[in-house]
Amino acid sequence: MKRRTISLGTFFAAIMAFFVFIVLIEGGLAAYFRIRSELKTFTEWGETFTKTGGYLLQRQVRQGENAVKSLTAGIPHHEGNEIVLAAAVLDQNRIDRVLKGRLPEGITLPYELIVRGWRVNDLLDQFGRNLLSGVMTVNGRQVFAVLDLDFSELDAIAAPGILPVLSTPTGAAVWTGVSRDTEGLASHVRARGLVAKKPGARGEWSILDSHYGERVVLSQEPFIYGLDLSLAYPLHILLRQALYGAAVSGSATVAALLAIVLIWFVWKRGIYKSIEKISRLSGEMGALIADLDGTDHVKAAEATYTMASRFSALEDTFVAEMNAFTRSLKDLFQVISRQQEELTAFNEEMEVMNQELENVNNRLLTRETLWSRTLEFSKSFSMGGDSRRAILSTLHTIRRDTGAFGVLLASSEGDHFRLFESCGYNGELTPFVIPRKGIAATESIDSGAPLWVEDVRRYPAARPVHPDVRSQLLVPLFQSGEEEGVLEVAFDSVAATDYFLIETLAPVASYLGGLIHGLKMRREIEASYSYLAEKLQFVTGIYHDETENHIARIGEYCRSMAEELGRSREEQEKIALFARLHDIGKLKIPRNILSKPGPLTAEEFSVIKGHPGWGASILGDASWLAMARHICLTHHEKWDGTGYPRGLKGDEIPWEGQVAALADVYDALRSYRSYKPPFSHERAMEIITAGDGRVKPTHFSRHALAAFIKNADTLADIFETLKDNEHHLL
Amino acid sequence: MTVRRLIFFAALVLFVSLILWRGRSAEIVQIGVLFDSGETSEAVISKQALQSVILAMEYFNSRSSSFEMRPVPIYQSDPVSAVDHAPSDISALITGPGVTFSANIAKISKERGIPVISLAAGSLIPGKESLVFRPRPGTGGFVLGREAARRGVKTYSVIVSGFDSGYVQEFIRDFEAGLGGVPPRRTIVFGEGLEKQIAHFDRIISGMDAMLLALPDWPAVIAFRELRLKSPGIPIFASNRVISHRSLMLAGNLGKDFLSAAVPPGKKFLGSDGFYKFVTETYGDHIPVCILAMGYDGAAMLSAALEAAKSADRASLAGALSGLEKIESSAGPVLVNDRGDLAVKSCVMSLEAGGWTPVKELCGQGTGRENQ
Repeated sequence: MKRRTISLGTFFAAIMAFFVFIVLIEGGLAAYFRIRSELKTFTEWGETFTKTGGYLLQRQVRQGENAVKSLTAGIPHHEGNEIVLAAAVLDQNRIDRVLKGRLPEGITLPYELIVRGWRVNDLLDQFGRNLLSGVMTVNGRQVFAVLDLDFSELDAIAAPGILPVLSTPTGAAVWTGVSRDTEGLASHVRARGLVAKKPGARGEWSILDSHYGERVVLSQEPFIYGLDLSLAYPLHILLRQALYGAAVSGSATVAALLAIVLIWFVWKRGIYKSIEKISRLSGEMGALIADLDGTDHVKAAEATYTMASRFSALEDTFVAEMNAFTRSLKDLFQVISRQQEELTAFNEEMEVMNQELENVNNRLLTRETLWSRTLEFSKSFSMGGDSRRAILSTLHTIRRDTGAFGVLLASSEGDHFRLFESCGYNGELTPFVIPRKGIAATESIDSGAPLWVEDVRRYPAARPVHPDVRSQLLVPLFQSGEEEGVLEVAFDSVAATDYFLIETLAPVASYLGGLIHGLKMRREIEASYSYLAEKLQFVTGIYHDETENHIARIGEYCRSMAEELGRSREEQEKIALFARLHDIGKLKIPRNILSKPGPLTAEEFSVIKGHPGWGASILGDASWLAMARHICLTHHEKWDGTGYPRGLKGDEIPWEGQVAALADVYDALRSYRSYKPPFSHERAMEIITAGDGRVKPTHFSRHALAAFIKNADTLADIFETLKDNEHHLL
Repeated sequence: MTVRRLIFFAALVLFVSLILWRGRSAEIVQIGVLFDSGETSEAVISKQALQSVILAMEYFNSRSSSFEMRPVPIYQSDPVSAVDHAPSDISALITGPGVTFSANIAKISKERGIPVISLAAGSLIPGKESLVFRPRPGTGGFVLGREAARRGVKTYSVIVSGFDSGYVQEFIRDFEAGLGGVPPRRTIVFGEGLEKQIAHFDRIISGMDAMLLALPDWPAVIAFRELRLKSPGIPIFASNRVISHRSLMLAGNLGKDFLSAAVPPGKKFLGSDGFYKFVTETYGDHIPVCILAMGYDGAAMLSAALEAAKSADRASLAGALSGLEKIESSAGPVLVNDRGDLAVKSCVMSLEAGGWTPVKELCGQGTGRENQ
């Protein structure tokens, strides 16, 4: 079950609200009873005033009545005579005889004035003051009298701060009292001469705008002689007194409230403020930590520093204990911050080291990759691969792994360097031969060590092969102590000497040097074999009746058809050379069989069919003589499988065998043989393409035949150019 | 913004508003109201006229937030003493209809630099050059004279309270002018020994086409009753001093052809938001509406001047009063003439069952002289 919680702030707020409620209730009740008490006091005073004031006025009236009686009786001087302003004996409503005052005899009085009893009405004296008039019976006569009451006697009745006003039913103020609290109001009412009509029932208190600029509480009730007594009191004084009473009665509660407020203030400004800030900072810190990546120590340090700074910015309050607590937190965070800084520094060092290790590792991997590929190329090459392709692939690998702009390999040829292979250089590099004197490549070869030209523009001996080259690494290539050439790794931006790369390329350069050396050696062997082939051609011509020219023509026929078949120039050269050796196996056939003019016996023919195998045996197993062996072995095989020595069929026959077979048949048809005369080119073409019973088109490869037909004129020209001296035309 | 800040700013705005509101509370303008404690002949009229001014101040105060006119009553019988006893911080004085008193006050108002609103009528009162401004400059005599002429009056006698009052002389002179310059045939003073003088009414009224009364309210009504009893059909013209709350009570049901002159208020004045309703609802209908209108116009002149001057300073207020060209009076918009007085027009009033009532066909016929 979840436990309910409440904050101290809420608790204080509730306590304060409760006390405020108590204070309000207590104050409200106290104010209410104070107001009631005040109003009750006023009301009671009004009753007292009515009695006292009424008595004073009635006494004057009694004096006036006695004076009127005396006047009626003809006694002019009597106590209270001065009160009587006018008196007259009436006849109906007409003045019959004036006893006193400026009443004209004979005039008719208004009925409103001829009433029994005494009333203050609109009769006014010469100063505009309202008079008391009435009709009294004296000795059976109706006597109208006007009394001038002295209201100043009422001034002696002390009012408790309240303003009493006596007014006529029309609101005309006839007397206005004086009190300490209502001096201005009294002056105003006196000047205005009118009393406002009070709303509500008589005797009740109402709030009224006095038009003197303030609000008053007002009560009106009947007085004597038709007068009304109005009691007015400024509302703000009443409220002030009520609030004062409320404050006095609620002082204890207010004191308690103040104490709570004080405690609350201390809590709020001295403790809660700091706790709230600490809580907020803790929350922010939690959010910061939650957002942190565990490996991001810099961010962690920044976060710790930020929080430490913010904790340091916490202001002191007036509560010492809170300040001590805050200072402890500040110290703690500063320690954490320092530790975090040290940890971050350590981590940064570790990261730098890791980075270096990673870089080394990456370079080692690069080196491993380069070496691995070089090794693969080496293996591939050793397994009979193309060394030129191996070189080119190695150059590509170097360029890719080093990020070079271009990589080239130039071979040393006497006093020149010749471009052997290249990659990169935006594909804009063309074959070149440059003298080796005075250039950086020569320097590296002469020194026997790689040369790193960091900026070709500042190295006069540098001869960049491309305008974009800025830096170059020149690695001399040696094999068995002899120079083979130079490897250039070029960069299109200035690059500092990278010994690791130099070290990496050293074995690769050695490998490339070996390849160059091998190629050179092969070229020499090929040249030797070419020489040998020419000599064998001569010997073959001597040994059997096929002339030297026949052997030379076979080579040229094959070159021509190889070109037509789209073979490479190297293949064209090789087939032109090795096709000449196609009958080298005939050296083992006895000359009497070879030169026998008549038909051969089966036994003799079986000897003849042995010459392709013998030829291959003579050539041996050298891989670079594979084409020569193929030609020897298959130049008598036929496309339809009717050839010898193994009866190969279709594509079982290598392409060079297919071409050599067709060339051999064409030249045989064009040449003299002991068993046939030489045929014309057209006849030979006819026999090959249409067949003659012995030779059939199905004996030849479709592609080779197509190349033969397409190149027929060239073949004819070759035949005519290398024609034998003896012609045995049919 | 947090709720706490919102409450704080709301409280701040409220506090500042209260400060500003207090700052803009009406400026209290002390206005001296001079009650002539020596006045006896026209005490009722004078008192009610000044009461009306005070009531009008209350009315304007309840509707204006710029100024609060606060009356300061001064009870003196001597004009110089009245001014001397006036508090030093009063901005203006208002004097009652007593001509002598007002005229004497005016003599010293300029040298003291106190603008005076005088309710007195007649040409004896100086104009704005003496810082005196009046809402009712005319006596009403001219209008009554015109009415008498219209009725074919050729001969008339006058009953007056005394000749010490400049108003009486001016009123009679105006009446003569309205009547075409016909002077009264006989004149008696209605003062001490009323019964003896009433006894002479037969002789005075004999051969007269009309009677002219220049008396305060109750002597005028008594004279009227006696004259009416002696000559029921004769028209009796009375100065506007006859108009009071007790005219009807004293005159009884003999009030036919009892005529006076006054400036009646307009519809707005009598309307639901007008001054008359304000007075009757608050204090009752004790004071006649024509007197209320006179007091209202005096306060209206002050109010308009205060709004124009925007200051309670005496000099500013005097300047503003001198510069008034038109105000919204009890009778509607009224021009202020060169003398600084309201150019109001009097009407013939007749005492009817409901009190003094303007005779519609006889309104607005005043002349330039009437407005002076």
